[in-house]
Amino acid sequence: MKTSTGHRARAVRAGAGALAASVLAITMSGCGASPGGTQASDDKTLVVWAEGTTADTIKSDPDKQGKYGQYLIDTFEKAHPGVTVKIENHGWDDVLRQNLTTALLAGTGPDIIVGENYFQSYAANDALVPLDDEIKDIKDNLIPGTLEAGQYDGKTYALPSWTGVFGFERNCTVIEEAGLDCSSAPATWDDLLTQAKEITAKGAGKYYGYTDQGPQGSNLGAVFRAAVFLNQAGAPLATADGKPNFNDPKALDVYKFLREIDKTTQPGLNFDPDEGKIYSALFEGKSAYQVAGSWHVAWAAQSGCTDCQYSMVPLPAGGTQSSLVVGNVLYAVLKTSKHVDLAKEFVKSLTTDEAQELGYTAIGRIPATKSALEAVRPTMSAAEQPFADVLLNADVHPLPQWSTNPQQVWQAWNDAFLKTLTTNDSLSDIWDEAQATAETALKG
Amino acid sequence: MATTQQIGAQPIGRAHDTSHSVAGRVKRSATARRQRRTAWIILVPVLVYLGVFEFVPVLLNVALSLTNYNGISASPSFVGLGNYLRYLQDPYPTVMLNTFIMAVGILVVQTVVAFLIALAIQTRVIGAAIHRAAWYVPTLTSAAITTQVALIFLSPSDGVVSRMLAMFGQGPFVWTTDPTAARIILILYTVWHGIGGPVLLFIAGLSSIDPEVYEAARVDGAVAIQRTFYITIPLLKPMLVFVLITTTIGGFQQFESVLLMTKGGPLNSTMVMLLQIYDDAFVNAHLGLAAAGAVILALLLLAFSLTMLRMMTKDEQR
Repeated sequence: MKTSTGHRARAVRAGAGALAASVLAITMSGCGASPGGTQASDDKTLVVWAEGTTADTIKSDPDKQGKYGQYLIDTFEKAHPGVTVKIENHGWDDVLRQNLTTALLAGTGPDIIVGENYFQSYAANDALVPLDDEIKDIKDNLIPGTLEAGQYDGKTYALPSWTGVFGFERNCTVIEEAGLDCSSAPATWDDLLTQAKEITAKGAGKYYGYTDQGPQGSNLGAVFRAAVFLNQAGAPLATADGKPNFNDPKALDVYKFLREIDKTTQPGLNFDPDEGKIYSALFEGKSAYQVAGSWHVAWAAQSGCTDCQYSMVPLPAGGTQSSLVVGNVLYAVLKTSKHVDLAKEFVKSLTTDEAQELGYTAIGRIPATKSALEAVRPTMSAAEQPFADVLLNADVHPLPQWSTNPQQVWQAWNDAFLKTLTTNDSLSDIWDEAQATAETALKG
Repeated sequence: MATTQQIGAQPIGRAHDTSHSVAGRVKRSATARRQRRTAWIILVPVLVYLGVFEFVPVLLNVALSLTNYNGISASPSFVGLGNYLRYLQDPYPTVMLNTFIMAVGILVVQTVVAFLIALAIQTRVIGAAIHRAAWYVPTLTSAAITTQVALIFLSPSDGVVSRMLAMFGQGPFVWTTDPTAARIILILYTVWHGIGGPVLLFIAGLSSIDPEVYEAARVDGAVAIQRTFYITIPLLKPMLVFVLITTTIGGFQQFESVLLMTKGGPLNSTMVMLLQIYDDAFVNAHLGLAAAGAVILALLLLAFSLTMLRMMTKDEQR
């Protein structure tokens, strides 16, 4: 009996030992991974997580769009002999965040990260390297709104490779069919509302005056467009110290306007889960006006809209010309990078005139520096120029970034906006409730 | 005498046996050692796999759920049960209620419909083989595709349903703004997408029932509904238990359909636990809270599954 127990114990110990050794081996192999992928400590490989077009077209479209990514690699490697730049695509938005979190957990984060709207929380958690010393000579040349999303607590942590902005789009075929003049866009919200109602009435179900996007879950599509009007009215979504500003009295006028103009949208279209379908209705001649991102120019052309024209967004009475940067691609250096100085130089290299202009000529993205934007503006089409003018002349800002529970804060805004558009409830009640919910969510 | 002989014989026999049994035991012991060694050689890779990919992650997840780790900063702090207590505050009770409503809806509709389909296929439907395959096609197809198919039908602006309503002079079917409608749509979509598995399982269960039992019941005058309730369902119970448990697990783990169709809206009415866990981890940067959500979901699933198993096997236990 003793012998048998001894054998069993030895066998169990042997098995457990084998198990532990295997786990240890796997764990050890995991520990060997270093920031920036699998690079050795003396290996000067700079791993850059870039947005999809930059990364993917280097191989898939080397003669056109890929020129931009290849230029970044070649220029940097030439200026820094012995350094290899690896540009990778790890998705965008939720997917990018998921991959980044996973990589950071595994200790395999890159040197440089890309993104649009999460840098402030990373900076707040001391995960990013400040770039202020590096950008002293170029800061004034960067369009302020494009830089804002990469700033936290007075420091700059991310620099833009290019940007985008919201403007106003109109389908002249629809407007003229309704018997209205399309030579210029409506100048004010009142003009827009009057025209949208008239076009909707004349369209009798064939076409409508305006395309408004309603909220869906915690998606940001509706927030982006509404924020343009809110900024114009001097009621931005966040206060200067980063708190929600949902129930600003000036915002209530904006929501009243949006509640009205939403009635001129094709029924059901405003709440379609497919954002592409919502905005392509204008290209198909089903809508006259809409707020449009700068990428709409190419999209409208590809969709066969030959009479789509662009301008600045109509203004409210007493409002200021303002908009929202969107598709604002920023790059930052992770503190875990083994090549922080090189990484900072690489991020700065994205803002040179050559890189910024190539971003426009190769990929069609709008430069984020004043000098490059002014240089390419004369070469832009008439459709694109209004977007450049918005960036150069209007007061532009990014969408606010919430330090805690952003999904719940945006959910509160979306819920309130849904009630705004689908009920006749008191706007102040709706937005007071949203403000309270957002403040609670922000407390964590 | 006999006793003496027996007693006298015993030592001889024992001595004989002992000499045999020592060698035998040594031999058996060597064989047993070899067998144990072989068993461990076979088992270790599986145990390593289970340990590394099942037990260790679960334990790490439980440990993570007791911290405020955000996936960004290097040093998480211990917060005890703080993350679990957050599930008592808004919006988490709503999220759990949504999950429960959808899971129960899916469980009831999917089980009943799958059973009826299986019954129809098994008894008298023409082209039974085609039906079997047809019901399984959505299950085999990726949710990314089937949700798009569903949205083509249900698009509020120009979907098939809205167009049909327009033919009758009605406005569009804007289910995306109505919490009840959105929940029903998600339940129906999930049933349609996932019903293939339960249908096949029920068909397999029905096939295993001896036709003579039905014959005997018919002879005794049992009508179809009586045969269903008194023969089919009781004899199908093991399969029913399996279907109920797997459907419950599936219902509580809804994710793709919600992400792709409603993103938790309208008014948070379709925000389910898995989507909230995902958002907490990768949008809200609160991995500790997400880990706590995963533990709570696992415990809920365990509790529901065990309760269901006990309820369904109560008669057998008696």
